[in-house]
Amino acid sequence: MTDCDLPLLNDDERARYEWQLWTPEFGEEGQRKLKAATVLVSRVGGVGGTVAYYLAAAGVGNIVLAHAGNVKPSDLNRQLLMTTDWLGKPRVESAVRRLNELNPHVNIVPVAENMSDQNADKLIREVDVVVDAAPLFCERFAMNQAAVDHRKPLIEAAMFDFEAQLTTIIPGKTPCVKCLWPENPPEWKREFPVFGPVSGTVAAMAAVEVIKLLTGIGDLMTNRMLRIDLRTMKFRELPIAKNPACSVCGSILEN
Amino acid sequence: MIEVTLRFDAQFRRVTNSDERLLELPENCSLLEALRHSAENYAEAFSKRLFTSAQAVQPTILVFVNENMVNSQEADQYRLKPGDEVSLYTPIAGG
Repeated sequence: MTDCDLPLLNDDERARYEWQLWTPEFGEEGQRKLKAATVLVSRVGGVGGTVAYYLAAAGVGNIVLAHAGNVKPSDLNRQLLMTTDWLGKPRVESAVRRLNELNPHVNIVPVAENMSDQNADKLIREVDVVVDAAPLFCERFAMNQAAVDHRKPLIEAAMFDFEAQLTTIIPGKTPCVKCLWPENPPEWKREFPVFGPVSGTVAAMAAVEVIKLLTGIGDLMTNRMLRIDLRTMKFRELPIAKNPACSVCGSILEN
Repeated sequence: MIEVTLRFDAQFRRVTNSDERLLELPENCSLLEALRHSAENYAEAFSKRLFTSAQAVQPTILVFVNENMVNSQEADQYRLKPGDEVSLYTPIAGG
């Protein structure tokens, strides 16, 4: 998309985004890039929901939300797009309602499914960026495969207890999910200890990565992994590398 | 003998009840030997999480020596030096 093809901003949008438009390397062109973009977020719980909230606030024009199931009481300590009055009703509907309340200028596309090998290809081929915040490795593997197949950037965000990790995958240029975790980890379980501010911290960082990716600002968290321990407030940046024998991306040449 | 520090993430901390352990190891010790040696100090749950049934490092555990990621299949060839810090990161997917 050339600059001329980018959608224009109206006065309401200029007013809403005024304070981020002051960022020198961003400006109105950056805002128009966000408006033109489509980002898939899966799921929209403690991490993904917060990512979606920040992306909607920032004015990402199209946000696809993939999450199955209904709101449960145990969601509410961290899933900021779910509300008490929506208990027992579809999570993704609660998320759409909350994001529309926050920013009616963005288009929210609900998909009441979790990511899988059955739907990943269809959903990911149509978007610009994928944010992976799924609690199961089978979902992460499905997104990774489709992201690599379609050469889509994938922001990998995850947490456990007071710890979290973040890396940005650019297929062919960085390690993919399977380079790092070549098989389904036998010990990982979907239930995990979580405080909302821990999932929210890594979510905010993931949202920043999306904004940087879409606008070309700054340096991405590529070929490195951020591991954070909020129990001790220690942050580690660790270099990571592609696995040449990776079953998903090993044969992709850098370009 | 050399001294090497082994650091644990949250999931390993649950089975070791500690953040780290100082290991005293023979000179020229491999990373795999060091990890097997460390397992003697902990309950079975530690070994089950760290090793395959063939006592190799689980391929889903990210192992760093200082700032270097070490492929789990090469842990038997990686020689540790005095003062090295080994960090073990279990796979996490909490969202």
